[in-house]
Amino acid sequence: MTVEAIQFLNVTKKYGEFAAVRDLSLKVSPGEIFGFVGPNGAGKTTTIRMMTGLATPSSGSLTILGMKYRDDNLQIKQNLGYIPDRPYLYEKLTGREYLEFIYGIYSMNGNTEGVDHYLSMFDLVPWSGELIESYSHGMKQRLAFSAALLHEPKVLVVDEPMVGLDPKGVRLIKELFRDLARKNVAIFVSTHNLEMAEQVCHNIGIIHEGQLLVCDTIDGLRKQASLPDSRLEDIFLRLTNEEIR
Amino acid sequence: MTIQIHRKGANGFREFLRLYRNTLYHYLFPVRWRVYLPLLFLLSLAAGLLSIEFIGFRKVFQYMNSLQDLTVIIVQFLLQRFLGLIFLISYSMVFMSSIINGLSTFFLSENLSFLHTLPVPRWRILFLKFIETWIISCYLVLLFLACFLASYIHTFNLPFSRYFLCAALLIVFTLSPVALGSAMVTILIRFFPARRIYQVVTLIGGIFLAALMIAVRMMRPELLLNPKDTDDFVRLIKDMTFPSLNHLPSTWASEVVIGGNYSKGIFLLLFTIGTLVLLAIVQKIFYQRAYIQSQESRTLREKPSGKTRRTVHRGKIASLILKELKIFTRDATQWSQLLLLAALVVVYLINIKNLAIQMESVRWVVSFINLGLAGFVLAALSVRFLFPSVSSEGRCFWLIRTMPLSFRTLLWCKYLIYFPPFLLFTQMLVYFSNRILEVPPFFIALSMLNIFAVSFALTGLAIGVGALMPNFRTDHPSKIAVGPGGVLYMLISFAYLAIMLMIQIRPVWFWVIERSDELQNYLYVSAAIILTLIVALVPMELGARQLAKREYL
Repeated sequence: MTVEAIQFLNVTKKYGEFAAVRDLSLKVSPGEIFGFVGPNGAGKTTTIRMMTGLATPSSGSLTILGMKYRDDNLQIKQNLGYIPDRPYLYEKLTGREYLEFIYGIYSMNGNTEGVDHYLSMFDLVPWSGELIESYSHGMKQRLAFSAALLHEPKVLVVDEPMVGLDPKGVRLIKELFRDLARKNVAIFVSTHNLEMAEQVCHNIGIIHEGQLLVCDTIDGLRKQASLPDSRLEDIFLRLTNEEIR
Repeated sequence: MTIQIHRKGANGFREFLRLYRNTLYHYLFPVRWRVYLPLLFLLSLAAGLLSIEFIGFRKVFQYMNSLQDLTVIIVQFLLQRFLGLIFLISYSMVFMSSIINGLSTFFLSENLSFLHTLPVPRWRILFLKFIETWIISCYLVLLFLACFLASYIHTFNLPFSRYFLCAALLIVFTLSPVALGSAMVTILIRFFPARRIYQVVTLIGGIFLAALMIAVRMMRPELLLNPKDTDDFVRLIKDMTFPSLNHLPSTWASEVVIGGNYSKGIFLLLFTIGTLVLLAIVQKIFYQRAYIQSQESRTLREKPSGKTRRTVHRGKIASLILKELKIFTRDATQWSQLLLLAALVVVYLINIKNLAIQMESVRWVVSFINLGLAGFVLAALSVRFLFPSVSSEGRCFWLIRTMPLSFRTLLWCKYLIYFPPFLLFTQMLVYFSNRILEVPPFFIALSMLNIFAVSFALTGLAIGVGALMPNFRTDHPSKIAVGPGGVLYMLISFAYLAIMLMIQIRPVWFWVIERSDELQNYLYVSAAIILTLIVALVPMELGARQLAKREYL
């Protein structure tokens, strides 16, 4: 039996009386790139926080690789990589020291080349000895990617991956996602970049006002929106506008 | 097609001021009531300290006023020297402080990039930034001087108008060091990298304050409160004053206060205007380039030749400890705090030495009370360094929260890092103070064992309460320390120290004075050990559980 990488079952998250996410059910399988799109304040970041253990669901069930946070907290974290939209990192460490710190915390045995591999992949080698406080936003984002991939996670959760990245970086990330998916890594991407979602994601979920409106392949979404041959942007606007009306 | 240019914004100075007013309003009247708790605590503490200052200086002035065997001129001369010294120290402190604060307000402040895009002339922004620097740099000195001068005017029954004269004098007097400090920092930033300047200036500030603390202590100002005779008093005043120069703002200020010498007041006013003009010229010439320079030095300007090296394999605990040590040692503000800590030790030992107690039994009592005082020093230090250690993860808390790392491990790693230096510090403090007091070796050993337990407990308490009530939104450790959690920690640690002393009076009495032993003593010692373990371990465990439950918002 295949275990789903991420599974939400009727999950609701409330802050006081306000429900940020309502009755959310979705699955992401290993090797799948799942795009999560929605307007501002729709509940994307709350959903991500629940997946990464930064917030706890008020009701419903959430499993990562078949495990629940309450029972297998450290086991889930060992297999999960997370890249936040604003990469707050330890500013007084150098890029290399930061990765070495991550490397030590995840207690990786053997793969000592990982740090150099990712520094090189994200063009950070020349600046690896500089303090992070002197990095630009894009460089911090690339370092956050390196840190999240260093321990070879089975599930990767990414919040707005393209913010601050240059065109070369954007292409690199797209290729990286495809490559990781081929290696059976499940990727959950929350984004406003609909073009990227259309190009890269196998399945796309649209969330609005805390509720998942639709969840399907891009072709499936076209059918549901009755917009054949149209782009994700049109589908997104049609579906969310209808809801607003 | 024509483009309309809006010119109204250039006159929008009121909106600009409103921005500051609203910020101040939200700062003073926060939504959450619990913010008032530390504010009230600090206000009460400040009121208490100012009252002590007022009464202390009043006593000194009353003594001066009562000197019958000295002529009025000599008394005035002594007063002038004394006031001159106070003004000189205050001037230097404001000057140093304005360099450090000016660096933040004029160059590193986050709101500058927004303010400089507003349609407001630059000089207006710089003017408000100067006022900001002035307030931050000298509000404490102003409070101190105001209390000092009020004490002087009150004791000598000077006319009420002297209060207004002194209020005006204080404003004029404190503006010039801030103007000079701001001008200096502008020139420094123009030619050197901002972060390097910040580190150097903070370090120099720390050295200056530490040296000042020791110098003031070595002058033994407490003797002024209880002089043996008139000659002794005159000698003390002379010893305290430096060979002062007559052409210093501090001397002018003292002459204005004592004799109501308006001509010196005009000197001071002209000097202050001169420094403000100097600041305006310096900022006109250097500010724009210096600001750009400070922004550029924040990011990498050229491609460095990053060398690759082999990754060293480390475990979780070693990685955490190494990270913590690197971050701590790379923060320049921590160095200056450590210097002040060293000065505090010196002052503490001088205080013990100055007691000069002859009777052996009294020395033993002082040595016993000294345990509580050393504990108090440790509590004050740990609220500044240990209590904020969890909060200092700040915005990186998301990383800790998503790592395969238990919070118990995190807290105990912090314990491992901070306990050894704090233990060494308290052991040295107690050892040397006991040597000065010349108490027997057995008593020294007992004291050191005792302070070991206190260090063990207070380290756990500080980290535990810091984890129970963290503040991830503030970057500066001293701001975290004065929050509600810091106040709670201080209250618990005072209670613990008091109980520890009370529990141990009986066994220490029997062992050291009576030199006898009985079973009950061991019960008291066991109670002290159990209390220490509870104070150390329970907050650590509760803190770890609280962090695990805490949601990241």
